[in-house]
Amino acid sequence: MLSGLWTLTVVSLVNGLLLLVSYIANNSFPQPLSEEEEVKYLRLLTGGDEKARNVLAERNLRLVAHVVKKFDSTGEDSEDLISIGTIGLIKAINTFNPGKGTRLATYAARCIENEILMHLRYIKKVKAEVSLYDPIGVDKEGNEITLVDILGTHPEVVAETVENRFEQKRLREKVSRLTNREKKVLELRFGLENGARQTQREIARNLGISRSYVSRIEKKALNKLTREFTSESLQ
Amino acid sequence: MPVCIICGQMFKENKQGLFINGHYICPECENGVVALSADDPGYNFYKMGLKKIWCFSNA
Repeated sequence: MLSGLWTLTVVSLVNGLLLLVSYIANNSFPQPLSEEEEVKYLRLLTGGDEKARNVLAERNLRLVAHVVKKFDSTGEDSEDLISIGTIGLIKAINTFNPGKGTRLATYAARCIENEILMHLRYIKKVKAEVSLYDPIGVDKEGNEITLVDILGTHPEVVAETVENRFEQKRLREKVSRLTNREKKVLELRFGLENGARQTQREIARNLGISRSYVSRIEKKALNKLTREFTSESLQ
Repeated sequence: MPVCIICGQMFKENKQGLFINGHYICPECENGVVALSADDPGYNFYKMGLKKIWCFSNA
């Protein structure tokens, strides 16, 4: 199995390399521009000659193949890398600023390399992501198992939830023994009904009483509950 | 009449675009390529189209 994969990798690398060598060797793409030619076409482009742009792109195609060769060992598909390098070249042609004193070929080589590196980084990031619905094997009956099938809730979380529910029930029993106003204040203050908590000021506005009165009711109700729980634990 | 190797749009005299080795890229696709980031959902679309410049058999 491993030797098969190894052979496949070697064959794919050799194929990629041969492909690139053939591009450069068979003269199917025009020769790179000399420094003087580059200056000439850049001048024409600045003067509004759109055809100069085509020449600048075309005559740098070999540069793409040349830069891609550096990434042979990544195991990525050579055709994809060449195409990605071409994206870098088009970006370079469109963003090149002759005023910076760098040659277009130098700038384009950097853009092509950056484009490929960005792609490789992205591929690495995507490969590291795991979907909950990725198949991870099969069960005894041959059915596919995904990650989400085997993930459960930690037993401690379940125990905590049950305990919380039990405590809430006890609290509700004690609260039901308070006066209606005390009950209302605690319900609003601690969100016992719908989980939404209110400030003393908001409760005061809702009930049409002063904030300090709400504070006193709250304090009294909490004292009653504390006494109830204390006496229960002493029994 | 040349068509864009990426989107298949016909070449129009009043619109420029880019010719690379006889392959036409319309201005819309050229702008799309320039604005591409590696995580762009359309990345593969542009990548596949540009393979035609290199005359890959499956492009």
